[in-house]
Amino acid sequence: MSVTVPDTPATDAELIARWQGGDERAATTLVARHAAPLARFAASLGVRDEVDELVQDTFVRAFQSLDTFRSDSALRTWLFTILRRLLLDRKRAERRRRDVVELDERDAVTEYDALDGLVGSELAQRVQEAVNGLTSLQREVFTLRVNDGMAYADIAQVVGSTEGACRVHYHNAVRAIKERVRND
Amino acid sequence: MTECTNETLRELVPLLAQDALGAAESARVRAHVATCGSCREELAAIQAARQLFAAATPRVDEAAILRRLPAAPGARPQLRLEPSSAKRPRWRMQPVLAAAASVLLVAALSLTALQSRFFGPATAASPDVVASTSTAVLGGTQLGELESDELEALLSELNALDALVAEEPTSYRQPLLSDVEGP
Repeated sequence: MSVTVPDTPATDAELIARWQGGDERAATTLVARHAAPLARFAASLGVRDEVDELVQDTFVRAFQSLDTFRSDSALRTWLFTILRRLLLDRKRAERRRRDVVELDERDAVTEYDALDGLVGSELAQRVQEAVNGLTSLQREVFTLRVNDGMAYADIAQVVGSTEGACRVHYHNAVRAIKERVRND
Repeated sequence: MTECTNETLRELVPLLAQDALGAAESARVRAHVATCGSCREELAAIQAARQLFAAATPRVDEAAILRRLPAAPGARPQLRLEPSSAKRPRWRMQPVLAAAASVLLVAALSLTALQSRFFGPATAASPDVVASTSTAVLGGTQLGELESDELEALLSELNALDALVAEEPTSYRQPLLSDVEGP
C-alpha cells in the first residue's frame, strides 16, 4: 500500500538549515518567498529608486549573519527589521549630506515619496494624502499591518516598540485616514 | 460616525482585506462589516492603501539578490563553465596549430626522405618538393610566428603531400615494408 505524503512547502527554518548545510537552492526559495513583501514594505515607506538595492542589501546582511538568527522569531520579521535599520541609516546619511548641501546652496531639497503620482480613484488620492500625513511610526505600523497582516507583537519587534503601543499607532493611523477620506 | 466596539472582529478587518482568513471566519467578518459603518470605512481605506502600495512597488530582481549572497557554509566550490558559444581566443589556438603543423611537417619530410632513398626521385613528394613547399608557405618565418590562416594553409599543403603518398601504387611500397619487417 502506498502512502501519499502531502507536498507541504518547507518552512523558513528548514530552508535555513538546508542552506547552512550547503544547499544553495534553499536560498533561491527564501528569496522568492520574501523579496516581494520586503520591496512592498520599502515602497510603502516612501522609498522610490532604491528599492531593489535596499532589498538586496537586506538579504546580503541577513545571510551574512544567519548563524545569529534565532528561530523562535519569524524570518520575515527579522528581514523587515534589517531593512528598516538599513533604511534609517540611509536616511540619516542623506540628512547629513543634505544639511551640508543646503548650507552651501541655501536651497531646500524636495523630498519625493514613492506614493506620489500613483493615484487612480478619488478615494486612492485621499488615502495617499492621508498616508503621507501619518507620522513615520504610524506609517510603518499601518503598512506592516495592512500589507502583511503582521501581528502587533511582530510589528513591535520590527519597529522597536511595544505591542500595546503598536496597536495604538495602528488605530490612530486608521482613524486619521478615515477622517481624511470623510472630510475631503 | 461611532467607532466599532467589537474589538475582536475589528482586528480581523485587515486580514479580511488580505484574504487571509478561513472560510468560516471570513464569512463572520463580512457579516459584521455589512452592518458596521466604521469597519466598512476601514476596509475600504485598507483596500485603497494596499492598491496604492502595490502600485508603488517595483519588481525585484531576485537573480541579482542571489548573485550577491555569500556561498552556503557547507557548499563545495562551484565550477564555472564558459558559455559554449564563447570562441577560444586566437592566441590560444596558435600554439595548437603550430604544434600540429610541426608534427605533420616532420612526418612528411621523413616519409619523402625514405621514399627518395628507396625509389629515387620518381614521386612528386621528394624532399626538394617538400622543402620548396614549406619554404613557400613559411617564407623563412618560424612556425610559432605564423598567423592562424597561414598555419591552416601550411596544414592543407602538408595534407596534400600525405594524399600523394597514399595514392602511390602498393607495389612501390612493398619492398620498404618487407625491409622493415625483416626476414
